[in-house]
Amino acid sequence: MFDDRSPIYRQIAEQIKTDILNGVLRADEQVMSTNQYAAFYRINPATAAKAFQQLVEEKILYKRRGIGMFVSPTARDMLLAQRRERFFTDVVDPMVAEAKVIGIPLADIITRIEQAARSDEEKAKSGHADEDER
Amino acid sequence: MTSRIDLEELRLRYEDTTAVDRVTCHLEGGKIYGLLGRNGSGKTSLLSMLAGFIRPTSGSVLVDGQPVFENPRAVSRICLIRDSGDVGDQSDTVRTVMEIAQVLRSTWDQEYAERLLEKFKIPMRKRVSQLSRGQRSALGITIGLASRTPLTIFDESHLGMDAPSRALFQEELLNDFMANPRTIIVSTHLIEEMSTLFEEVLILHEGRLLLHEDTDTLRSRGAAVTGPADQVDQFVFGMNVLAERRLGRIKSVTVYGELSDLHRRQAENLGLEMEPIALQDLFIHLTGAVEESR
Amino acid sequence: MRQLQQRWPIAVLLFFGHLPFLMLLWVALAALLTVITAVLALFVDISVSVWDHSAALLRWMALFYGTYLTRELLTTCVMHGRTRRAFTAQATLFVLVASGVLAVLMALGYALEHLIYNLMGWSHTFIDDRLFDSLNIPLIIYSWWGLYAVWTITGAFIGAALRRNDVSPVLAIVLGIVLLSVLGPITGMGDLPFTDRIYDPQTTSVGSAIGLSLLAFAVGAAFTWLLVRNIPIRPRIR
Repeated sequence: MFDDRSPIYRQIAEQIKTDILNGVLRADEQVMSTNQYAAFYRINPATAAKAFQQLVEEKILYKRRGIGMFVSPTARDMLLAQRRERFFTDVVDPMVAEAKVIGIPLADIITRIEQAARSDEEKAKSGHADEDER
Repeated sequence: MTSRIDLEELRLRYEDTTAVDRVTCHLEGGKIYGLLGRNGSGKTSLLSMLAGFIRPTSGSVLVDGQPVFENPRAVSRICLIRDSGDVGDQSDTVRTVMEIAQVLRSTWDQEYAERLLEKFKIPMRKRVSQLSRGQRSALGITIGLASRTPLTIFDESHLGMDAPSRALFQEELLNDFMANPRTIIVSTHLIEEMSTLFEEVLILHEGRLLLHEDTDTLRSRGAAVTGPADQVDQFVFGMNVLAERRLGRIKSVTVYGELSDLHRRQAENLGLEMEPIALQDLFIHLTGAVEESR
Repeated sequence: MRQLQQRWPIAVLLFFGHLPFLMLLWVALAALLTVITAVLALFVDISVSVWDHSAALLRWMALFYGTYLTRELLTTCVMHGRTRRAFTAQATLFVLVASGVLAVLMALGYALEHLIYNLMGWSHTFIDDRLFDSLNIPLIIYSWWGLYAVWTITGAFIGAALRRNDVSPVLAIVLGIVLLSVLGPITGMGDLPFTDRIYDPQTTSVGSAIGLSLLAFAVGAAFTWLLVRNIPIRPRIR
């Protein structure tokens, strides 16, 4: 589940953030308690607590005393904004650098991206068409 | 109830060898600690002194501020389970072993013990000598958990257990720790499998305490830096280098220490690849490197 | 009971776990000897006490049980958070009391045998030199008490030496033999083959015999404590 290459609490926090982005966890939904989380994934409860604490500090989660922790209503938007920001530094910039090293013109990349986007749209359309036929 | 542990300049000498060499450490308690070390690193000797099984040659062992050896109050709050599942007479039945534990341990929880035996599928009627290695280990773990002592120590107690039993051990250890907080020390070789349980890790090497660190901090400490030899050398200058490997003009170096974003950017600028390394590999490098430098 | 268990857990374990077992052994022995006597009576005229002669076997059992105490039970006690001091104190007490209980049972055996021999018209005499030469119950109890107590504590001493790896087991066994051969025969019990005729129990006063066996027990207990007080508890199996 978790690997030993980076702090587990960060991996837990990332996983919860991904769950929020994917819509697995919704706004104002209660998340697992520290102990439930620790028992489920067989990790130290202090490590799990640290992850939740960090998410509370980042305002991704909020606490209700005596009840538990919940997803902030603004969590998804915040995370989307962050990921969009990171998209260019984490994905686009390295790609451009790699393209430069191996000599792919920027124009080729753009064409490829446009193609990929178009075929994605078509797939989505045909998918709907299948459903309509039924 | 949890126990605080203070070891001061702890030593254990046999005739011509030093098993434990001036170990000083302070554990505040209420946590699960992992004790790592290669075979013969002194883990069992250290834990035996901590539990009052062996008297230290010099130095002190304090649990909750009390010296341990032959101190009835202190030892009644400690339970050490060793690797051989050394929990009772070979000729006794599991039931008898449980009865003896119940009489001798004032904190014993019989109901919990029976529940655990059922989960581990150990029949009460069987003699200890008839149990498999894994079953003996599970019996030891049952005794350790059901003792409910403020300080509970498992020294390679899961040896010989199959993967599902080990998973059950981890689950029960965590559940019971959360329900009844106490101080737990687990020594193990199965770093990858067990390390998620540990809040803090201690590494023992050749009788000395190599490090005592928060497990997650440790996970962020090591990195492998790979690239052209010159650039790599330039980058790691002054850093704590654990291991080096060369393949032609490419060099890969394992470094240990705090790595800031500044380091990461610098590596990027030098065209170096920087990868985090697993705790297990870090352990191998840490306990291997010291030997090479001798 | 609960309070007793909290104060003297090792003694509770021994008295409630081991003593009934040792008493059962006595019942088994009594049954076996009765059968042996009956079978013997078919072929020969019985003229000596079979019960008394069985002492040879029993003292070795006492010695073996003593080694078990320090080789096995001590480890179990320390493992379960008890001190060596508590073990030695409570086990020593147990050895003293249990030896007494078993001695009473032995005397009962003599009485029953005496009764049967009288009925059958056999003469109830003892082969070995004893402090007692007829059915003297107090002396029989005392003699067996001394035998069981001294042999068990000597066993405990040897067991402790075997459990340590820094004490020569040979030396310990020699010391144990010295203890048993010098002090044992004075009571007329537990004489080793080669010390058979060193002392003549008939000339030893009962008072000095009691004093000497108490001394033997005290020396055995002191030796045991000397070895046990800082004994390292190492794994029994590897």
